[in-house]
Amino acid sequence: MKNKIKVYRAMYDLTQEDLAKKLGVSRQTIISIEKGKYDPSLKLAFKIAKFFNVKIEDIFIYEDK
Amino acid sequence: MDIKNKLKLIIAIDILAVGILSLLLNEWRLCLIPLFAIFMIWFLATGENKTKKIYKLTVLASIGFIEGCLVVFDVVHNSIDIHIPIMGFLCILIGLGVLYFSKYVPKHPIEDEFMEHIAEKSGHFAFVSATCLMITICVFLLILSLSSKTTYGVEVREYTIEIMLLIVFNFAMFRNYLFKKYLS
Repeated sequence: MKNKIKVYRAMYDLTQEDLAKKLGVSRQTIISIEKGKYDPSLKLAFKIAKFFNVKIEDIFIYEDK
Repeated sequence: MDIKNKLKLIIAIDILAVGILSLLLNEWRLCLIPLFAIFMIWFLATGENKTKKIYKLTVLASIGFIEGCLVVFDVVHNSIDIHIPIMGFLCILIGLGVLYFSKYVPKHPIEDEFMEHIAEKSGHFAFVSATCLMITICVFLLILSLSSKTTYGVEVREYTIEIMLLIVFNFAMFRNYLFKKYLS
């Protein structure tokens, strides 16, 4: 699954640490999601979308292999 | 190197390990065990991405298998008393692993879903390799006791510590490997 967290983070001028603190997760979680190596839970995906005031599909792009 | 070649390499290492063990213990039937293990892995890996699953299971099983060979060797040559060097070696390896991978492990971890995911996955990996480790020890000792008609006196305390250290080492190794895989 691809995502645009890095883009949105840059738009809001946030570091990975800042975003992690705002979402109540570890910095490692943000790093792994941004790199596309870890797919977040639905709850966290909604939390991220809500934080950036966008729809979930604006941030996460599902790719069928 | 593609997956099939990696598989061949791992199987070759397993056969080499069991070959050395069977030569040292003078029991050629031990060589049949990896073939049985390969058949079991092939049987267990079903569904989509079969090759990947076979590869993953083979790596995990091989780790347990080689560690099992080590413990069997230790049991048979108990008179040499190689518990302490093995335990010392494992402790040093765990220590080195902690030092090398410390940059990937958070200093003040927040228990969130990613950390849980890593813990669950490394726990699963450690469980698979520990199962293979225990099966290897049981089957090897069974074959050896059937062929030589002798039973091996096992000092429970030392071997429990040794096996526990191996399992902890595996868990730490898988945890660090997963951290590196996800974060680098």
